[in-house]
This record gives sequence, C-alpha cells and structure tokens, in this order.
Amino acid sequence: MKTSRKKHNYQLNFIQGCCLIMLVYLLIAGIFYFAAGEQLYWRESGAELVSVEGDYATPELADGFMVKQEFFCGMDRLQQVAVPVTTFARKNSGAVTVQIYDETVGAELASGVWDMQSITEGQLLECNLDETSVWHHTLSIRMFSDGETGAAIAPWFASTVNQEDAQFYYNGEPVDGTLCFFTYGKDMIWTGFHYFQIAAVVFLCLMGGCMVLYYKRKKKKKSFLLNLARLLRRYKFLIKQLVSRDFKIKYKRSMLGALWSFVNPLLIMCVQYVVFSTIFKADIENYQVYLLSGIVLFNFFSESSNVAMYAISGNANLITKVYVPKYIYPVSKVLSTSVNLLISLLPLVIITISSGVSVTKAWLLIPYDLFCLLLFCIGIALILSSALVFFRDIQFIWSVLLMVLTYATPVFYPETILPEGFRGTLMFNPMYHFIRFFRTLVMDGVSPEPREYIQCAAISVAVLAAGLFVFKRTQDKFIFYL
Amino acid sequence: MADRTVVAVEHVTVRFRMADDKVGTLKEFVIRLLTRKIKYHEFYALNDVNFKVHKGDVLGIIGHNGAGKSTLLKVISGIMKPARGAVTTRGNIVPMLELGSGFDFEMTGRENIFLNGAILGYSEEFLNGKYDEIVAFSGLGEFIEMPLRNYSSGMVMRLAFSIATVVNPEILIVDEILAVGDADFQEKSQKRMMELMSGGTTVLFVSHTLSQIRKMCNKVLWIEHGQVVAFGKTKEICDRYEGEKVS
Repeated sequence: MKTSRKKHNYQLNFIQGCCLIMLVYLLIAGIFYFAAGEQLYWRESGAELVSVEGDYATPELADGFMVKQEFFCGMDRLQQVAVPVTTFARKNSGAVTVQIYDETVGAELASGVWDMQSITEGQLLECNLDETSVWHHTLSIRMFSDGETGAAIAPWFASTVNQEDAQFYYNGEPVDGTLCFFTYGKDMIWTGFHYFQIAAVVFLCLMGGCMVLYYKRKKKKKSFLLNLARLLRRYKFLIKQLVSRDFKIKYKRSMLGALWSFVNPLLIMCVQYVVFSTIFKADIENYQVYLLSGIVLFNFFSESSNVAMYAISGNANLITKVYVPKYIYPVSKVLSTSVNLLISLLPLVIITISSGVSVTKAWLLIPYDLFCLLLFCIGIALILSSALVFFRDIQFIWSVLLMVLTYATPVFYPETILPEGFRGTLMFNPMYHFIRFFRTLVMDGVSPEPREYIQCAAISVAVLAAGLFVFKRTQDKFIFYL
Repeated sequence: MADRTVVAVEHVTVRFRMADDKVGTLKEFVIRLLTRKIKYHEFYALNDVNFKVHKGDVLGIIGHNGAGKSTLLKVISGIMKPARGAVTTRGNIVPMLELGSGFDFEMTGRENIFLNGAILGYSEEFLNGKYDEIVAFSGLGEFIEMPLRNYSSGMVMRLAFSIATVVNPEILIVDEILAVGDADFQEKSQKRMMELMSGGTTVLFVSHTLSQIRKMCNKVLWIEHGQVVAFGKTKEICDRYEGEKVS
C-alpha cells in the first residue's frame, strides 16, 4: 500500500517535470525571439560590392554629360550606395545628382542632390535607399550635374577593369572601365520568417520525447536521459558540496577572499591595457570592453581546463575507496570555476556601462553563449582529466597548447591584424567563436546572425560528446593507473 | 520465501594486465608501441570467486598480504569492474574511509561533515537531521568549527568514524580500521559496530587480527592468491587458518 502510493507520487513528479520543461522552453523561445529581434530576419549581406580602386577620374560632370554604371545586385535589400568623387582641387558650383535606378523594373529607387560648392576632395556621395527587394536585379548608378565646364566634379573609375555583369556608360555609350562605388545592404535569412514554425516543431519534438520517456519509464526500459535525471537527483547534493568546497578553498587564506575573482580580471585588463592600448586602440572602439570580455571568457576556459585536468588523479584516494560516478569530479571542477566566471562578469558590466556602451535587449542572450562555453569546457575537462590518468605528460603538453591558443585567439588584438592567410584558421578556434559571439552582444548590442548560434552550439555539443565518449571508454581503467 | 541474500558474488575474476613496468609517459608509450616492446603479463587478483552474504551477516575476510582482500572489497563496492563474473548487491554500501581520504583539511569539521556525508551518498535532509548526533558521537565539541588541519590524527579518525556509522547502512565495508582514537573511543566505536550489526547491517570486514574476527564475525571467507580457500563458520575457519600458519 505504502509503496504504491510512493510510486504514484513519483509518476506525478515526472509529468510535472515534463510540463515544466515545456513551459520553460516556451518562455525561452519567447525571450529569444524578442532579444534576437531583427537579426533573426536579416544579416549584413555577403554580396556587398566594394568596387574597384579608381585610377582615373571620369571627364567632369559638366552640363549634358552623364555617367552610368550598371551592376548586378546580389543582395536582398540595398541600403546605401556610396560614390567617391574628386573636385579636381578647384572651386566648383552647381548641383550634382546621383540616381539609383532599377533597370530590371524600370523605376528610380533613390536619388540625391549635392551642392558641388560644398563637396570636398574624396568625399563619398551617399544615397540611402528605401527597403525594396532588389535581389538579382540589374541596377544602375546615374550621375549628372548642371554645373558649367571647368566647375564640375567627377567620380573615380578604373579605366582598365571590366567586370562581369557590369557595364559603364558615358552618355549612354558603353565604354571600358568600372565606376568606383560601394554598396551596403542586407540579406534575408529564412530563420526569422519561419521562426514560429521552427519553434513549434521543436516543441512537438520535446513533447514526443517526453512521451517516449514516459513509455520507457512505464516499461522499465533503460534510457540514457532517465538515467541521467536519476543520477542528477541523487548526486545533486554531492555536486553542490564539491563546488562550494572548491570555491571556499580557492581563496581560503587570502585576505580579500572571493573579491579576487572580481579584482583579478580587472588587474589583468589594466596591465594589458597599458601594454597594448597604444598599439591597438586606434583599431578598436571601446578597447577596454573588447579586452576585458576576451580576458574574462578566456580565463574561464584556461582556468577550468587547468583545474579540471587534475580532477581524477587528484582525487585518487577517493576514487579508489568510494563509488561515485567519476564524471562528477571534472564536472564539479568546471562548475566551481564558473562561479568565478559569474563573479568576474561584474567588473565587465561595470566597465562596459561606464565606457558608454548602452545595455540592450541583446544582453538577454549572454546566457546562451556562456552555456555553450560551459558545455565546451566540460567536454575539454573530461578529455583532459581522463588523459592525465594515463599520461602525466598531458599537463606539460596542455600548458604549451594553451599558450598557443592564447595567442591564436584575438583576446587583446583585433582580428584584422592577422595576416590574410592565417585568418582562416580562426574558424577552427572554438574560443574565437565564443568570444566573438559575446562581443557582438555586448559591444554592438545586437544578436549575432543565426549561423553563429549554430556554430557555437555545434562546437560545444561536439566537444562535449567527444569528452563523454573518451571518459566513458576509459573510466573503468582509471583504478588500475591511479 | 524472502531471499535474504544481500551480496552475491558470482564467478568474479579480476585480471590486472601488467605491463612489465608501467608506462607513465606518452613518449615511453609511443616508443614502446613502435618497437613493440609492450609486454604484458596477466595477473589474477581474483580468480572465480563465489560466495553469498545474507542480511545481518558479519563476514570477516582473511588471507595473507596480497591475497586479494582489498580488491574484493573494491569489486563489491563497485569501484572496480570485474573482468568476468558479476556482483549483485542489495541496499546502499557505505565504506569506512581510511584516515583523511574524503576530508579537506582546509575546511572546518562542520563543512567536512557535509562534504564527506555527500561523498558517502547521504542526503542533505538526512545530514541536517543527524548533524548534532555526529558531533556528539565524535566528542569533538567546539573543535568542530576549526579547520581540520588543526586536528590530531585521532580526532580526524573519530570524525570519520562518526560520519560513516551515523547511517544504518545495509552494507558497511570496513578495511582494517577498527582501532580508532583513544581507549574510550575505541570502546565506544566497538559498541557502535555491535549496535549496527545487531540492527541488521551486513558488514564486510577485512582484518589481520584474528581475535577481532573471532569476536565479531559469524562467517569467514579465507582467500589466498585470488582464490577462495574456505568459506564458512568463524571458529572452524579461523582454527584452520591458524593451524596452517603454525605448520
């Protein structure tokens, strides 16, 4: 009688748990939609044209002379066209008109008129466009003026470059060469327009998953997730104790105590700021924020990997005496380092706000990045801690690898200083992705494009899976090597 | 009919694959792998061990050094996986830890009670409820708020014993550590052990002190070189063991 009631109780808890998961999911999906905003729909276009470098000016745009540049637009939305012009270093007068024309549809998209008297040498004439779809249209830039001969400006062009899908005209006559101009625009991303469908599909999958679990529980079948939930429930208290132990011990005999988690990144930032600010400051806006965000995230990674590496070999006397799932040791080490991470986010917030960066709704997305980073670090910790049991050399190898990674990650330097050939390797540097994601949120105040969410998640899940695999395969042999 | 078996050890074999000397570094490993110089010889720490322990039994495990006693305990508590065979246990297993393992010497006695209790698998509510009892039994008094590094080794042991025995575990594993603390505490701990045993706890107990075994155990398992020599009543087997020693 008693046992059956207990069982019933547990059953109810399971269903409640499922409901809770789904509610939390809905909440997160809602917050995410709100916080990601525009960036779910649009991204900076990859098809922006940075046109040729001009070597000549065209003949001056005196009355009756018109230049026209046709080009093919690979962007969804064209936002701005900019044309650099020369004044021939003289006083000009009259007005110059720049028209953006859609040749495919046959309509004017935008135009701008400038007083030639006030145009300076090398000025960009910028035309802003309304948001109409121009994807795969042929557009043209037309420039003419009402100025007199000898008192008109001219755009730059490259006399010897002929591009595909582009044609340059003088008064309607095709000529060789390409006008010097820039286009800026954005591309549509399908994620935004299908967000609710995607969210609904994931919701249904969650619901299906819960139902499968329910069925498996009823039939007493084995299931990885159920097992995990049971273990978590059972060892929650132990994990809590281990984490609080690590955290207490770290600063136990120091006077400032946990305040060091706060002060330390600030001090590192000050040192690096003094050393590097004169070199890189010009390239980066808000260099302190750039620097500190890199330092905080990278420190978390290096500290957690260094500490968690010894999680198994350092707890040898426990592991050989008491049975506890061995995953708990490295995971708890990473978790206790993440407490430090959370504390060191405080100075980051203070520095960020005090240097004039405004807090936007994109900050709501910071937990996503940190969560991915956490999973990534746990994966690395699992691999390192099990490898160290068999090969003690790992500790020395890792310190070198960590140094390589420190310099290969743009923590204190802008990524633009990397030589072109080397920049491609950044794509393979996981820390680069996490840090860039973080900086986009904090410094630009907008969400990164959806692709980067997937990149971060993929990296962390892949590394975590690799870590779990390695650990599972080797954990039964630990005892023979400890 | 209720099956009273609490621990069933069936055909348990533990094999150490010993490289002639352990390869500790990557370089060594690679060199040896390339030159095919990794030689293993197999060593059976346990070989086809079978026995059953019933609820409330106090099993003494005897044998000479290196006979496989500690390995057997490790297999039973799930720390080591046997190469062959299986161990089925019913109920929670609490090992009595050796001096200091599981303690953090920078933390106070109070913090260590919770840390060590968590490692032994106790729940938070349980520890909160039993906290006073543990402190009282250990007799540490106000030392409980001091870091463990200031304790004497006897005090540490007393604390460890108090934590391990506060729960009534179904299975208690004791590896040669009954002489704890001063005479008073030894008496107290012996009494507590007796209490546990009469309360239905199954105890697996490794010792070289035959007098202790004779006093406390109702069954004895004798193993040598990883194999069971004898399993049965205490007096019978202890007599045989002593007889062999003399001859």
